[in-house]
Amino acid sequence: MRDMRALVIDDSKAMRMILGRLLKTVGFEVSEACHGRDALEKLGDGPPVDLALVDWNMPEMNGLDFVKAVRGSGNHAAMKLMMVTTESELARVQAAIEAGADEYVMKPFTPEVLKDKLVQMGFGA
Amino acid sequence: MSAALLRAIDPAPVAWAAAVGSALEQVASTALELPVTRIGAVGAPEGPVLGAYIAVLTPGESLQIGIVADAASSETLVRALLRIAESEELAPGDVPDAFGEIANMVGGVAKAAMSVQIGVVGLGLPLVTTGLIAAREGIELGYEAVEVGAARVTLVVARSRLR
Ligand SMILES: [Mg+2]
Repeated sequence: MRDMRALVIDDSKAMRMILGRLLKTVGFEVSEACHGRDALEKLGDGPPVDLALVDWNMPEMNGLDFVKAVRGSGNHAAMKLMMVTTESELARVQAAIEAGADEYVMKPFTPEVLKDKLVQMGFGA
Repeated sequence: MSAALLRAIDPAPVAWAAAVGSALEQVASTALELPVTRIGAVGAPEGPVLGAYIAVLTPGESLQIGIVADAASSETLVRALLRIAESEELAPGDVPDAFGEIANMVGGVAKAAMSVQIGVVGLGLPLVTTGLIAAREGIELGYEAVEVGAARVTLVVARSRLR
């Protein structure tokens, strides 16, 4: 079985570092993108990705527009999308889920919360 | 909602200050794993500070929510967020970036708490800079001193009413 691959999309390098480290502990090979457009480019020429963690507030292309673009394209249909964001109002969560996000984690989070979500999504033990 | 109605239900600056303080408590207990002691309202901090600010735009007002600290205290918070020990080197740029993300989380939590009352419309991107928001007419500034682990920080709420 090939390694699981994850893409961390966040405009904060600190957050990419934190999320990337956590994903590596559960066995992911991790790459990074600093906004939605950067992520679309990296998905375009890279190997298939199993999971993308998506921030909401980013320059160039925000996380919601990224989710809409990916789900609207029909490409990467097997890729799970998890929003990881400070946007926590119910309306925002609903908008992300309607656009095609699979999971939603609110910042700030503890590593345990994120790991539990990954397990619920079928990643990690 | 009409401007008159908004004025009538204007959440006092203390409501924002309380929301921002509790937001920092929540961020500290989860993302930083540091204890928080709220010292209370203070004047503007003196000396060189790093400030991370996030804009919140509501139907009736424009706010900047900020966290400011001196170099040692901002580094303490950043090391806690990134889980980087004192003995390890921090890469250049890590402090402003991570400090901005702390402000982003504090702003996001405060915004969520306040939106229940007033229907917040937007959150901006964090801005990290040296120094404070200058006092000027039309801006209401509030500061609260907080200890986060060994760091001493000041929370800033700057409000201006939209007319
Ligand atoms: Mg962001």
